Amino acid sequence: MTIELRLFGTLRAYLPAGHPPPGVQLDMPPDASIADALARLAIPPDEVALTVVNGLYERDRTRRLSDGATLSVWSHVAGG
Amino acid sequence: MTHAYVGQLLRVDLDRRQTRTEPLNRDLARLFIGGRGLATKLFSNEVDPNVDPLHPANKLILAAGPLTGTAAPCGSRFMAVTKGPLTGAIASSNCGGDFGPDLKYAGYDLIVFDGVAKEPTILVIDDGKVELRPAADLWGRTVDEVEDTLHTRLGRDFKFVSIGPAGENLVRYAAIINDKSRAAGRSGVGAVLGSKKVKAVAVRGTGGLTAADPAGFRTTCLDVLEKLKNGAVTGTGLPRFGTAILVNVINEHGAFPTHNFQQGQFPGAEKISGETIADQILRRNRACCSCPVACGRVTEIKGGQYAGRGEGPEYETIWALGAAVGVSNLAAATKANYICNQLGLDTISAGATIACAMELVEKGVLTEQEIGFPLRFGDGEALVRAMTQIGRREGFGDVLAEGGARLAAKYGRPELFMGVKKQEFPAYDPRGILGMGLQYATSNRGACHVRGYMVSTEILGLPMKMDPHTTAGKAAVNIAFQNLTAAVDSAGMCLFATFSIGAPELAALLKTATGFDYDVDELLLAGERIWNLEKLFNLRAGFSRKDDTLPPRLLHEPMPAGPAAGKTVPLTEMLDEYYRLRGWDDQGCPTPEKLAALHL
Repeated sequence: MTIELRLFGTLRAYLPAGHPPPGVQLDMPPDASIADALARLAIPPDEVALTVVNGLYERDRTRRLSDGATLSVWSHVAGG
Repeated sequence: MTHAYVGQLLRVDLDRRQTRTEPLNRDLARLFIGGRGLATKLFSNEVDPNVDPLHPANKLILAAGPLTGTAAPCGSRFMAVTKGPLTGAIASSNCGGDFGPDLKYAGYDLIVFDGVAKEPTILVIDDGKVELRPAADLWGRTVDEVEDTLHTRLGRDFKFVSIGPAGENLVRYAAIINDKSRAAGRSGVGAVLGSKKVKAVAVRGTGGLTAADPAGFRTTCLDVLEKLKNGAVTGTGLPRFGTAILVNVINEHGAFPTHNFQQGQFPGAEKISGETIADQILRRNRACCSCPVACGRVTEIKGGQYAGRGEGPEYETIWALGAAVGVSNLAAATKANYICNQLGLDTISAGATIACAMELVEKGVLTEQEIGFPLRFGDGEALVRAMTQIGRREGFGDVLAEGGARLAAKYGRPELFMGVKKQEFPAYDPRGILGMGLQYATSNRGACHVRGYMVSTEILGLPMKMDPHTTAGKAAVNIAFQNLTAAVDSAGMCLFATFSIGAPELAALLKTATGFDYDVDELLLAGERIWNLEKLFNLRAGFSRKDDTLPPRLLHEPMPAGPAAGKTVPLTEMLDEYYRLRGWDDQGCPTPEKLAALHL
């Protein structure tokens, strides 16, 4: 299956070199989880603070992703 | 009262061109802390709630808090408290920079302006020496010009607040600007200063402040500093990307208001994001006095029709001058921000009012002939043109200067105004963040995000994660946030510090600084007291439950697409619970028992 992994803030550093932001399409096995997708780009789990799947917060990183999912991740951010 | 506070306020009678010093009331300082709280107490004691906000009898108070100017990290803030010309409600606009600390070093915790000067005037406070000076030559000048002129005239070490042409022209959302780009932005506090013909206040001071428990205060300050530096948000996120890091966060959640709240996601978000700002236009960070975070953005647009230098955009600003008006051209939006700073305009209300006008055009209600030029979503050039006209009340800018509520009503479509109590919404669509709907509806100064920032818990997970699409528990958390924020504002602390510290640290800072025996319970009780005091003023000014509401679009029109598709805001159930938990009756009036418990 294919998912889109979008990286924001300091996590942009893990985008493949030369790849335009915000995201990258990843071919993943059918049972791939959020953690698997993060591992594909060697993103240290403890650098990720906010994980959003298709616009909805997801606390459980063992959750399986579905084909076509958009996974958006941030380190600790705030503003206002 | 010799610790943390200066212990005196300055009264400025503009009618008589007289000033006098008055001691600060210690008992009131204990109950209302300072800043927003103490100024609101003085204001509500002295001003008729039914006064026209632009009448000489309306007063305006500039108020520092007890921590302002001390060694407390992020203790730089002051407030402008008055009755707002945009809303007719209590207005209290918060500002950072250097003015607040220097006001105290110059000898005052608060300045109370009353009456109206016969000619343009500046107030100069030089180490306790107070003087009202004529300033006709500054009238009509931009904020930059005023500060540069006064620096030359008075000395480099003076700090200023001033109004631009927008304040002089009584634009209903004119700001008071400090350090050229820091704004006490909301509700039109700059128009009140303009109505009094006060162009600027200059302060210089060498006085010091003491702490009641110097060793304890120092230890607490070091603890807070450590937490701010090590906190992921205050130590890394805000310094690196500024507040506009939220553009993509809120957009990905489908709550980034686009085209006057017609959609919740902006296709051009990446082009105006904090990451893009950092990549393309950021020159350096800028910090307020005593701030280790430095979230301010000093930026430059190099070349082209929007070339310029200045500060910003912040998150709310890049939303109002970006997604709200459909502009994804970062240079154009940034230029509009610079114009707001120089003319003295609140970027949120300015952008949102233009967005409202653009929807009126889109719907064929307002014609380009009336405006004098095309004003369509996505047109950055029109945005810049309209902004300049607003600040100077030129052409159709004279209509836009009245704000979105009056604009939409004038053209028979009041439902297209996106705000509460005639104040425009900031950058969150509550259909995707339901607790923000309650916050907007109940905010005493009209639609506002920094009175009880529910985004923190509903989106960012700070201090705990709540589901943005449910109502459970939102009323209780919103009340806690509102009370804590009132205390933070009154203390003179920056709200952003609360991303890394909480009520225990704030209580410890206040206790060791002032000598008042604050603990967490008393601190939050003071915040609740301040919130209720503001509410009482609004009730006496004629506001009621019917004003604690949202536009029909947010209550009845489901979000059309994105993660919040199909959502509306179930406000009534949250509002009923909110009133009950506040100890108010079902019309939103504090009960006698509640007022007695709060010593009001």
